Amino acid sequence: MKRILIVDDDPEICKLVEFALQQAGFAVLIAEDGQKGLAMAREHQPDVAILDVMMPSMHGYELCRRLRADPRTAEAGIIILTARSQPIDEQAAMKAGADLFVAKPAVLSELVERVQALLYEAERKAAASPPRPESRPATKPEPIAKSGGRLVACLGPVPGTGVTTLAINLALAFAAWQRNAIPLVDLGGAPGSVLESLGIVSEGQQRGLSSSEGELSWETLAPQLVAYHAGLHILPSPTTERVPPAVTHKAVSLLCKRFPLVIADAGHSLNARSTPVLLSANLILLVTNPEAHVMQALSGTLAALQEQGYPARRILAVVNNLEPKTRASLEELRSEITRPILSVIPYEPAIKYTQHTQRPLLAMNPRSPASRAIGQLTMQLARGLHLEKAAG
Amino acid sequence: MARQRASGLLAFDFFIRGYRVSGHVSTHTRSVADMLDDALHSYLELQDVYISRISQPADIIATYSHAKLRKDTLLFAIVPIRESLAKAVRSVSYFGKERVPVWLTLPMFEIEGEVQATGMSFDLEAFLAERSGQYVAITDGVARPTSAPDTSFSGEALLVNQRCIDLFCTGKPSS
Repeated sequence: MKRILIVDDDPEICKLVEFALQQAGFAVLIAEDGQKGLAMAREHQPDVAILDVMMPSMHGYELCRRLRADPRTAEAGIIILTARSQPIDEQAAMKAGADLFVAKPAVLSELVERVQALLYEAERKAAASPPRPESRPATKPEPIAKSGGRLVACLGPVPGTGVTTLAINLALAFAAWQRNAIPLVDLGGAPGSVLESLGIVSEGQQRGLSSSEGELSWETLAPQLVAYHAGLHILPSPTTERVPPAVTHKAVSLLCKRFPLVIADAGHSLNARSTPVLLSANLILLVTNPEAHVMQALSGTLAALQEQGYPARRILAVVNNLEPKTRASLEELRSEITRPILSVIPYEPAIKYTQHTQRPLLAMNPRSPASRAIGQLTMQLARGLHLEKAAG
Repeated sequence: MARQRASGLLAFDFFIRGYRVSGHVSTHTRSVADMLDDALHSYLELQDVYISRISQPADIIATYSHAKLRKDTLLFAIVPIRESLAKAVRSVSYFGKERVPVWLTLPMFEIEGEVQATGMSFDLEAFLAERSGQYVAITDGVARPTSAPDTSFSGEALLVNQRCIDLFCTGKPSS
């Protein structure tokens, strides 16, 4: 029987929610404040926790953060149920790590449905999570593109073209479409940029990766993946130069053996770490925008890739409009970019908001024009790379 | 939004200069509009108070079990519609009620919504003069901090302190 923990200082609400959940076949635990709720969650490890925000001793957001930080409770589904029900409160709840936000007064039947949906989603995610590590002898590095899954790398000619934002949202879109886990490898120059964008605090990025590529195996790689919502598994960029570029290349190769698709955020530079991975990619998405200085840098990036021997036919452009008005028309851009434009992502005013809230656009506003464009891009790539949905 | 607790407490969001204060009020048989308009008390008693700065309105910076809120400097409160009306007031008009779009400014906030007026044609001066209470109920209201207009606070009704209104526009905007 699934266990649900209710943490609320209002006994009337506790009784009502308890009754509704028991009727639906759940075992219910009740705590009247944040401290007791934390202790109870650690002891009983509930499948779902329903947290009030306005509680004595510890408010719901703090409790949510602590539950997520504790390995014993990190995987629990968390619903914030609160009378502080403004849109900004929902964002705060999600930032704290909640899965769902429900405003009081809530309809009990709807709350029960949300709990059931959350449990269903958790089971689905568990089924799609990376397979358990197996014992395999270390193998010599080999070209990534030949080793199983596809590798798509996102690269920008200069900083600020939205490469990381696109890589995150693309990976999320693929994870949702494929109903499978998708690894997102951060190759960016700035350590932790993907994690920072998502508001994830992770200690010792890639610290467990060995300094020798020969010693790297799935067993040592799997614990380095940082799980995010909706099937996203992030391999953060190393914070130390102790991890040689060849180890990162090997790590990507191992990921490609395990997953049908790997997305890499290559940031905005061809460096010792990103270049070997980029050269192994099935496809490079050059993320650009119509700004004059970006277009100028783009030709340099294209030339650098071709100098390295990367086939031009595997380079496609994505125009990411970061401003409401563009300098050039699409036709003008086509002539300037010289590579096929796979997608034009419209200007999205909420993108600044997503940076502030550290919540991806696809999760925050899946119906926005920009989200829809990313969805279409996902479909185009899936067709081009012959990717299929996971069975079931 | 409000929640009814077993002890008769309701939770409200109050907005004062620079702060958002979420707290419970014991309304008993009265509405929060009654309590705000009660001239015999200058302060409103709050319980289980959660305070946020307007610059970061979701981050709780302090919590207290009790607080007193000065009513004359309160900018507005977000309440359910039933709490926006004085319990004793029953307005009747042969001409029915008119919903008039309004846009008003307060220190640090702008508010958009509607007021319900009785009579054939809306007269703002008469509307403000004829009202008995100090707080104007703006229905379907949205409040935005002027420093962060992307952030909004909305609810069934916003009880706005008439004394704090600097600009009161009615009707539809001309552009």
